[in-house]
Amino acid sequence: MDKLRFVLRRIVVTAALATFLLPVFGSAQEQVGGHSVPVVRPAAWVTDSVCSDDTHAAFHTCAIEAAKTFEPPRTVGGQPNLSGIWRRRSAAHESLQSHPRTLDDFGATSIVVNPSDGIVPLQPWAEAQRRYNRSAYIHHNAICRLDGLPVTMYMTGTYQFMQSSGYFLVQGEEAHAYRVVPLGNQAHIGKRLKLWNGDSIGRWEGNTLVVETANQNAKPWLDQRGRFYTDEAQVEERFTLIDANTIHWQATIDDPNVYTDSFTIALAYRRSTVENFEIWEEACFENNDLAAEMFMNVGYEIYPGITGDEARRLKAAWELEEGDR
Amino acid sequence: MSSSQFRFQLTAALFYFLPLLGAGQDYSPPRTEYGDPDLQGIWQVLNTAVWDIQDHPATLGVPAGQGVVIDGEIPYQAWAAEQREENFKNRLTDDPETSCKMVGVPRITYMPYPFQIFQTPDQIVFLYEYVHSIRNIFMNSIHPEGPIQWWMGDSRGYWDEDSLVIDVVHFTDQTWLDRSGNFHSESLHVVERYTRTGPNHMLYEVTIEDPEVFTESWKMSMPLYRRQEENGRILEYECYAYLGDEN
Amino acid sequence: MNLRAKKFFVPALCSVIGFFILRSAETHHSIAAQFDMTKEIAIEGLILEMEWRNPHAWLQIEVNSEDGQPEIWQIEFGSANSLYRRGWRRGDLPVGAKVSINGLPARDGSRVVGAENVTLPDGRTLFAGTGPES
Repeated sequence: MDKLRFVLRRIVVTAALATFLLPVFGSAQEQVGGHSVPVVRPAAWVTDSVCSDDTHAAFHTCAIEAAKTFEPPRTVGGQPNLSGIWRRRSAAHESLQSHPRTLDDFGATSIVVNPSDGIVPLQPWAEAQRRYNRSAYIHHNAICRLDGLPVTMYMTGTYQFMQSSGYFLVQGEEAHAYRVVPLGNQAHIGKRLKLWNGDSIGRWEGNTLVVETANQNAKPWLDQRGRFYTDEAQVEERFTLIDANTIHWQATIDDPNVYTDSFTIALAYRRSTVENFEIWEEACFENNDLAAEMFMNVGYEIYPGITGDEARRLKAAWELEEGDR
Repeated sequence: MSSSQFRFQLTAALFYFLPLLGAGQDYSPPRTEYGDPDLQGIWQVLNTAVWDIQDHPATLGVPAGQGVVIDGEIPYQAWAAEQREENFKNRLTDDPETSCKMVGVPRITYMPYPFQIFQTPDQIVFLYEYVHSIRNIFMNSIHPEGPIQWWMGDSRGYWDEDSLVIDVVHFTDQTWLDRSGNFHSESLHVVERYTRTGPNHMLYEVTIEDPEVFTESWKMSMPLYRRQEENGRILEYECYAYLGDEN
Repeated sequence: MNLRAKKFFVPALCSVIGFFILRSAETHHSIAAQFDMTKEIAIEGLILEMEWRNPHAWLQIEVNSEDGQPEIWQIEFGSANSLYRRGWRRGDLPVGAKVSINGLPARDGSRVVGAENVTLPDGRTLFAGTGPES
């Protein structure tokens, strides 16, 4: 056991050292003198911006100010033009909260901007449930499920945004995920229709695209730490260009079954600089049998999601059990 | 026959035949904000092509249907005709749709689920309800060099007057053209034409070419219908999520 | 040729560099759910074929086990699209070539390796760099 700890400590230390040697988002290898070395590439996105995103809290504050005076480029229809290929900045899919670089994680600062401590305000029973989730269930993305909202907006790294006067379309290449948001004064679909990506309706408020999402089936997680929500969750997103190459995105998640209060996450999308980039087909389920089998073999099950009713029952039971201690 | 009767009959004949000369082309579709024919909206077929693209009688769970193959026959090579029969016998297990895989082109168009078309000048995107399949049609550009195998192929589009023409290559050999075992190889080459024929109708024509399987190219044709519901959406059919816990 | 499937703890520097073959900024699921990140595995075999697929491309190699019987091992790469974008195509696979694989062993004990480094006999890394033309 001591030997194991010694070796694992060496691994962690080496990994920490490696952060100084490697570019931020991984690299290809090239042959130099007969062995592989990482290729250091310049960032594939515009780095020049009015707001840096070294921490998301600082970016969020800066972006809200910058949005007040920025006059965005517009589409033919007169709306701020969000179209293009965008890189999301942060490995929030690993954890919404600050987490370090490890062998398994790229690491990131917390994208939770409200509350200001950067901690996701899970109710106590839900924190216990989260820990159980993480050990018992496989993350939805590993078995090719859709990501829901807000996770669709940070699960993958490269996005294509397209818009018309009637629709806003978000596409990620990974597992051919997409969401389409009708714009204008639409009504949500009926409450009994629960969808993986829920039902989204968008509208313009000044230079900000506001998107309300309901009707989720709550089967995806918020991050790989097992943070979750119920089918009663309401999500409000806001997309605002703050300079020609940066979109400020924020999402407020409201689910009183799980969280002590609604909370807000925010991150930056930077415009990609890759020439002539085309989104190509990335099938997932069609060739994922072996990986799925490997997850099941080590005991993971598929996360079943959770309804508002189930959450309330679990909470009551947990508080009965734990409340008196 | 008097000359006035003759003139009447001639005029009647012209009225009868004229629309056939330019079927679908006498309708001038509205334009997008970018000036292209507007194909946008939610569309769906109303036929039974997904079951069998040729004429087929009904059987339990399967409605009868008139085929969508022009001239009725599919020009299989001899070995391929036998393979098709074999596929038919094993269709309940061997059809990739039964294991919830993507179904390729053109079958995705005539699946019994709606799809949405979204247009910009450089790219047209088809969004399908069936397992959130999506096709990015890159306009006026060339295919990447193969060999590449994608379930939905690689699509490159251009406008031919008011018709959207899409050239599709780079397929796997894993998809079937319908549920009855009509199939293709990796060499499949599909050319689609989408032409608005009225406010709520579109003509979908497909040319299929595959030198490994067919003796010559052949065509399908069918109408697409605009979904009329207010507040309509494409929803989700996440087929493989319904398959069971091991998936 | 003997199977060399050693499981041993190594200073993880090479695995940190190497594991980026398997991952990228576009990453999805946790590697640790599938592979044992505390260990390294090294095997040698002959290339049989490769499935050029997404979300992962799979290299199949034939390895001689200790009792001389051939075993098929699957080596998990990143997506086929990442290879296509760098110019690699199916025909570039040197079928029959002997390769040395370093990677992460499967948590479930199956004959699957999460590739970190796939080296040809002349020392070149399989599918390295920007493509076969460069």
